[in-house]
Amino acid sequence: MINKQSIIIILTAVILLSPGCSCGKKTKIALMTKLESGSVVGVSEVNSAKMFLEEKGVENIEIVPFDDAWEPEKTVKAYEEIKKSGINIIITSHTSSCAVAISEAVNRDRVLMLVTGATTDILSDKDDFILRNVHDVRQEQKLIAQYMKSRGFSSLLIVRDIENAAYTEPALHYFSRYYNGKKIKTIDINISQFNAEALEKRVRGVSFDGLYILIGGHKAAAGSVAQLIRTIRPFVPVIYTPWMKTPAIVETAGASICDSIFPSIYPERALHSNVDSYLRRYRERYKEPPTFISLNVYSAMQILKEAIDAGHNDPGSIKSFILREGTIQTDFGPVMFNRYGDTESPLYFITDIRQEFR
Amino acid sequence: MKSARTILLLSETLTFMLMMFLILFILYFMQMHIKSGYINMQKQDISKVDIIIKSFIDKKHSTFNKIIKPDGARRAAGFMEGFSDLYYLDGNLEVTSVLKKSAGSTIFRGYDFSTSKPAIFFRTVKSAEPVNSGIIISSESESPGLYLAAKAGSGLIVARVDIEQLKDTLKWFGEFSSNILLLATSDGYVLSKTSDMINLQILPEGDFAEIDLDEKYMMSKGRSEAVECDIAVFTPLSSVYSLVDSTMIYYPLFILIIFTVLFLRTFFVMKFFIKPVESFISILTGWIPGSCIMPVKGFLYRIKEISILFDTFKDKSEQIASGINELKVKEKEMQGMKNYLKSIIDSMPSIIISTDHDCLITEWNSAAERFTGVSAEKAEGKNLFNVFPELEIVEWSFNETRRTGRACEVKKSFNINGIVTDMNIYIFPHSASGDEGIVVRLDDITLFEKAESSLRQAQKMEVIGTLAGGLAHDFNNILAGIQGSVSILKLKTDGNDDLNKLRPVYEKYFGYLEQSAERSADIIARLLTLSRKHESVHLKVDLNEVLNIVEGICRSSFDKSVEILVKPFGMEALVRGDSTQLEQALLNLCVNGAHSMTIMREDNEHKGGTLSITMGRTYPDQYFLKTHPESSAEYEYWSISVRDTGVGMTREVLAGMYDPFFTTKGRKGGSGLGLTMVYNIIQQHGGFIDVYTEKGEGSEFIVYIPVLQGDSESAVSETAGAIRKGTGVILVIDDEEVIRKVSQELLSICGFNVITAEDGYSGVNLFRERAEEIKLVMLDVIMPGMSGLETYSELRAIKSDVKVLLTSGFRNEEKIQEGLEQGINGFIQKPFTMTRLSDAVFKIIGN
Repeated sequence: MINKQSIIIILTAVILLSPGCSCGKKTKIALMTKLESGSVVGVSEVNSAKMFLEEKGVENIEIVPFDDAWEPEKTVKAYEEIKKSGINIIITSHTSSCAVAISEAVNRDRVLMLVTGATTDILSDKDDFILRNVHDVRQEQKLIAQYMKSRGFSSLLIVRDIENAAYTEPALHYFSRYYNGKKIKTIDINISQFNAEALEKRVRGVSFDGLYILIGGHKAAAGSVAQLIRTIRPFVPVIYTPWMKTPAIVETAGASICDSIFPSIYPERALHSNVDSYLRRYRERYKEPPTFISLNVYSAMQILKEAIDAGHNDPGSIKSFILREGTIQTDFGPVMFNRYGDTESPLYFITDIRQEFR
Repeated sequence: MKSARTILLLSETLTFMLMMFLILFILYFMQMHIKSGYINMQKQDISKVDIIIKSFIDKKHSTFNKIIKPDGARRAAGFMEGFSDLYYLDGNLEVTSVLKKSAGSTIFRGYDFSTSKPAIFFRTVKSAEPVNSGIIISSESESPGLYLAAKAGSGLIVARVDIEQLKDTLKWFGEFSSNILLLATSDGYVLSKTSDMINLQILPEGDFAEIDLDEKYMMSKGRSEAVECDIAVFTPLSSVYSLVDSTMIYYPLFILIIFTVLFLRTFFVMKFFIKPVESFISILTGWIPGSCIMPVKGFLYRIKEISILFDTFKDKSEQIASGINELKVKEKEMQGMKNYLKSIIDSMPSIIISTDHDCLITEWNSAAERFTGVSAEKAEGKNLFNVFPELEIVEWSFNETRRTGRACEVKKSFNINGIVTDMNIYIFPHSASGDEGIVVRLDDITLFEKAESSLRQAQKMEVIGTLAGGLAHDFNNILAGIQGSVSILKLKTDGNDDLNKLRPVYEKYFGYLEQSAERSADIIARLLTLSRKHESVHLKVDLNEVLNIVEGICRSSFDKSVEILVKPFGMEALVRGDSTQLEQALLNLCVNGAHSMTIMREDNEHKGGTLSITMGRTYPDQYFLKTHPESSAEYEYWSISVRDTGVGMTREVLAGMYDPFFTTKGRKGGSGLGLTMVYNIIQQHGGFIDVYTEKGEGSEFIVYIPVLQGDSESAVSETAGAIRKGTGVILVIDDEEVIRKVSQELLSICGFNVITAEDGYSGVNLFRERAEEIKLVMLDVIMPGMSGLETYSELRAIKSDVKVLLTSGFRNEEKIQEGLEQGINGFIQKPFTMTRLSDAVFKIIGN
């Protein structure tokens, strides 16, 4: 009789008071990018991460987006929120200045940060918790300079955005070094406070046969710069940085898009079926083309998944796994990490950018 | 079957769970109700926002209208304040003139819009009436905005309104409520939000969203067609369910209260009901019927009803105890009585056996033990006929008694271990405790039978003695006839050899001799029948024959002053009985009747009278049955009335007339056994006797005997046939020379060659020599030396199919029966006529 009583009471208590069962444990990965309203960038990265999880049937990883508006102050706040939520693995898709702003904290807190968009060399050649699946600025500018040299410009105009000095300053430094003394003219602008008249006035006084728009950070306004300069110097080849390879540039560049050249980590989609497939799948799903930085995020997800599936879910063991492996195969090709967690890979120069975003 | 305690606990648990569910349901209902209210509020907000957006757009249209009017008002800076950019486009969508642009805007004169997102809208503008686009995120501004455009000449005049202005208009939304307003594209991309606290890129699906880490929101969506965007209102659930949440803190208290109430209820029910009932049950189960000792526990008096129940139980148990004690006393008395009865039954010489309805022995007294040698312990419970197989002969009676419920009485002889015992078996039904059983009483009447037989024999002797005088007279007459005839014959045949002249003499006087011989033989046969001991054999008997025989005896033996009138029944009057006994009984009545008219009269009275014997048939009606309790409606009865005109009987004589040795004849004769015998005989035949008498007038005895139903074996009767003739050798073995000579003479007349032997030995030798030619052997039963049956055995040893006719002076000798059973072919009683002899011979060898 007592046993029956006990059983009844216990069952009742369990029924009434038992908490819901907890779901299977998932490894949370923060995705820090620009999520402000209306931003095209950021949406692509988040969608790319979601697409990866769904297409690969990943059930042990959860992506948690955090918005830093690509502003270093907000990056710091976003990092604090990430820490508060207990997440210690981050994929970043932001500017170099944002990356630099939290690099110290990341290493201090032993949080693993996989950088997909910041090329600053401040983060290069360091044994730290910051890994990168994109070139650093030195590697990048070296390749661009080599290309420029191969074009044989007699006079090159560089319009540089000083708002993103963390990127553009070392970029110009390395470019100048590797471009090796040919004539270069540089005009600095603040792309956020674009003054078309002032720029026009300055450009009219310069003789050049090649234009290098040294702007990072997905600034679609770079297209407006090219468009403006083209009114002064029609048909001048315009070379962008790899970070300008966005669908928005097609909208803002106007007719200058025909003479535009975009350096790219990935070859033309026509020459890489996985890239082509990814772009097509994304467009079918989200009704608009993705940014190319979203491929970096997709690739970063793949790298981290491999480490987590191998049983590593803390920053230290994941870093060790990646560095131990050295080369991680992704859909878009192998990513080779050196002992500092930096990568090296070739750069492709795409001339028909509209095909890439069809 | 569950106990009250279990049911109580289950019901309380169920009640508790139901209460919990009820509370949850109420909470849920409240939540739903509140949520519904909030959703309505959200929808109202969405409607308000939509109205505001429409109003905003209308204002912009109105302002834009003023700008595009050709009267110059468009250039008023005040009007352009409402727009971030204002410019002209040519037909190729290139900027031809910039009227206004915001700081940092990348628009410049010559800027090509043809590849940008707004170009799609620009190409739809066909008239000078302003039209607006939906909210567009254009690359050149990198922030959402909407465009107003109108045809201006061949180009367009375009104004851009930054979404921030709309946000400013909607700023009030977040100021007066905790709700958050979001504007999103049709694809769900968030364009604007009234709170920077949330981090939302894409509008979530469903009714709820976790748009920040600390809060869950309830969402309602609507659409603004004016700007082609979705409007979403988020209400923090903490606001929605604040009322419910405020009560949630009391939920544990409610649970506790309910639990306490149910617990207390359970406790009190247990204490005041369950526990007392369980204690009561334990007292009841431990109670020994008959015991008044009962533990009294205080909690049995907690509740009035249980206390009453317990007190009542106590009282009843005391009554029961007292009743049980009384019962025990009665049982003891009954046992004593039973023992006493058993002692009586065991002491009785009668065998008393009782069985139940299934013939299983329930009682087996000491007499039964002694008689059967089976103890009571072994017999009880067994089938009666298995234990006492000898009773199978009365099984039919047994079953009849069981079936009809009527007692019956039979007499049977048992041969147990070679000892023959006559038993009177009385079978009667009994009903004990509703079980209908049978009681069998067996009384050893061997001595009684012997005594009765002796009594009958004595009575017969008396009758014979009575008859002797009359018979002596008859015999003297017969002898006189014989002697006279012989003398005459001797005289007539002396010196006369002429047979022809002597023939009439021979015929006349030999006839007299034959008649005398027959008469003598008849009388002797009757006497023999009466005199010898007779074992009762119940066969089919015609009462007319009995009457006839008795009449003959009476006529020949009674005083001539007694007139005899006989009226037999006009047809066969068959009964099942013993003819000899019936003859004896009837003769006895006749003798009594004759005595009452002769020797019973006073010396000065006229001797003689009329003796009437009448036979009839009676069909019992209700009156007859009532007045004759011995009768049965199942039977019809033959009645034989013996009526005299003698002295009659007084009441006292009537009362004792059946008593043995009761006589009114004093010295004149009478053993006092006659009527006793008559009564016994008639009773044995299933009949009864009526007596009508009047002193000085006479008496009438009416004997009723049941009409025979069904077949019964007929009494052996001999039929007479004509003299037949044959051939062959017949051997006569008889120790009487006269019989040998007469037999030889008679058989020779029949045509046979007769050889004789004077004893068994010589007879056997003779047969041995001539076995093949001897057709028949006439063999006397009683012979000295080798008896008739011994001689028969020797003869059969010589020739197995030897034909033998047994002769004897006694008709129903045992040895005759034995011989017949051994295979002797027939019997003839001496003396025999030639007719009877030839009939008997040819009956054996005739075919």
